[in-house]
Amino acid sequence: MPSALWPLPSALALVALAAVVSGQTPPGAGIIRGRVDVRRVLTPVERRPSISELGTPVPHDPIDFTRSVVYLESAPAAAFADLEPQRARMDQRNATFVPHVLAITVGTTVDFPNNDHTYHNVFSLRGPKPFDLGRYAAGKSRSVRFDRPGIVRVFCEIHSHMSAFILVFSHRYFAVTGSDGRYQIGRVPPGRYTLMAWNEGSVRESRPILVPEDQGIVEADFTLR
Amino acid sequence: MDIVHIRASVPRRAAPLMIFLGVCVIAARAASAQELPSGPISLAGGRVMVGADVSFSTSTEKDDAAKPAESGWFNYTDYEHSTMRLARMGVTADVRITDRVSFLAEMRSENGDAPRPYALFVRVRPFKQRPIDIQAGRIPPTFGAFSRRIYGDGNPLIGYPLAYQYLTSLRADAIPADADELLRMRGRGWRASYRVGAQTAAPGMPLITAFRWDTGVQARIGPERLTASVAVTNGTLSDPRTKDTNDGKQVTGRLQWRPTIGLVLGGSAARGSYLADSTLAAMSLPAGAGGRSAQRAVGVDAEYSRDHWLVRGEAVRNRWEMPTLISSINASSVFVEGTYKIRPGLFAAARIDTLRFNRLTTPTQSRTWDAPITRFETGVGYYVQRNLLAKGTYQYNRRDGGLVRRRSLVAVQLQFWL
Repeated sequence: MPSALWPLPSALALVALAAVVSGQTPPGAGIIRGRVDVRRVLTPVERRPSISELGTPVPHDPIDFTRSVVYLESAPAAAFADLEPQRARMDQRNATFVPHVLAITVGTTVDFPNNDHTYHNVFSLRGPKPFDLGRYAAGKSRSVRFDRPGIVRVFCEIHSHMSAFILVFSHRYFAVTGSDGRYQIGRVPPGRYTLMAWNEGSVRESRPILVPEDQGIVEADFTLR
Repeated sequence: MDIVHIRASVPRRAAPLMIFLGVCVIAARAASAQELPSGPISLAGGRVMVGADVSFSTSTEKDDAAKPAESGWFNYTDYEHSTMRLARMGVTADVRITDRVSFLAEMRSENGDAPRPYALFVRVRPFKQRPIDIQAGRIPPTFGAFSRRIYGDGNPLIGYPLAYQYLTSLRADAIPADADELLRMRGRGWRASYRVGAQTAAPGMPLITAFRWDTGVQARIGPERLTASVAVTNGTLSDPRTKDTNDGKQVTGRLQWRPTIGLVLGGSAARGSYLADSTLAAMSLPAGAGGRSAQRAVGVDAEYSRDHWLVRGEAVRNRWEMPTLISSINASSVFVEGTYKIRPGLFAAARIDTLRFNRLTTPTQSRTWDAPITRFETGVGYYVQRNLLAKGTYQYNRRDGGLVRRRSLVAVQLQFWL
């Protein structure tokens, strides 16, 4: 994956976008928006066959695979200079990571609160920030700061079906799609870019776009199969 | 030995390879073009889950029946394989027939043997809202905790706890005619022979075997915080059976309590007849001995974890009735193991383990009926990826009997599971 991909989770994305929009807008900056229609049939990673259990395992919440991340493959140099340290959150709830996809900028600290009545052990073995938070109980939280761009695969050591993605971007031109598949990337300086649509582990589609000099809106829809 | 072999139309040595290749083909179909699955394979809209466990271990231990003076057989199992030199392949399946009925199975092969059904049972949840489960068939062990965590990375080391693996000199199909004959077999559990019953030499029994599951019916009641399980099975802890060889069923119970997050406490008890009717028929009983052939066991286990630590321990007290002897023969085992994660993907683990036996007194000698043994194992594990684990361990065994009384060995293992 290119090194320039990375956004915020659904709710947090809105906060981040609001912050971005409230900042100083470059002259002629435009907006890229659209909808990502995920038509891929994705099967969640389930727990292993519970062959050695003495009974039926406790059920867990389903994973929302429809969230995608749309981002610019490359960005103007100024986009890398003004990244403010931020804070984001990935819950552990009903044996599921919520959100399943989190997109942040470099320097963001992510909190991992445990909201279940059982242990979780959040870890990541590869990528820009290997970490292992150990086991901690309900109501407790531990944090990780991500200082390098990349894709972080997050797992729980205790619950094999639990997994999530954190996309760490070195620029701010990205967005996580909402529940309706819509996204919006604001304050984009005029120019030619490649827009990428990422879903569940890899870039599924990309396309060149042109952001005009008149603060225009660029519409870009994706259908991921 | 009550071993069920599945008839295979492929050559014996090729069967495990066929299973593995079959899983790979399914995996390749289920996975995206770029990556192999890191989790089980889902088929039929999630109603069928297929998992796999593959492990290869090798060690400096080179037991050889042709060199008895050099062979300690400390890690031998009742399938006559060493846990430290073992190629194991297993395929598990969970078929959800309805929301309340599932069929679960595992086919397993060790060291190229023909695959055999390690687990084969149906799970029924009669009430949707009540935490009651019934399982019938070749079911998971009710007693203790270790047997149920041998999958994936459940065992932080390569060796098994003594209570679950080490072969005592007792057998279910042959018994000593008197105490002196039993004492002559001290430290020879890998190949014991007696005058009563089967005449050929064969491996003895562990206290609880982790390598075969029993056949019967099991019920679990209660929420996760406090659960009670009870099972009625054909065999016993030492000698699980598909077909019963005597009139006595084994009854096993387990109570498990989670008083707080991170702490699990368990207590188990079992009683069943372990001697085959053919063995009892082959002997002449001393006065008052009756037909006693029960195995009784009680055990406690605990697990505590916090931060990067995980500590587990189990204690088992076991008694076998021996109809040719006036007194019962007892065995006790305790182990404690700990795991600490040093950094992401890397952990260290250690286990201290002991197995003790009661003393028998004859006109000529007074000794424990089998040789007490102590084992220490320590090692490190590294996750090459989430479901690919490499381990290296050092194991030291000390035994008060047998031709080889001390044995140090180094072992390595590679495990993959999905």
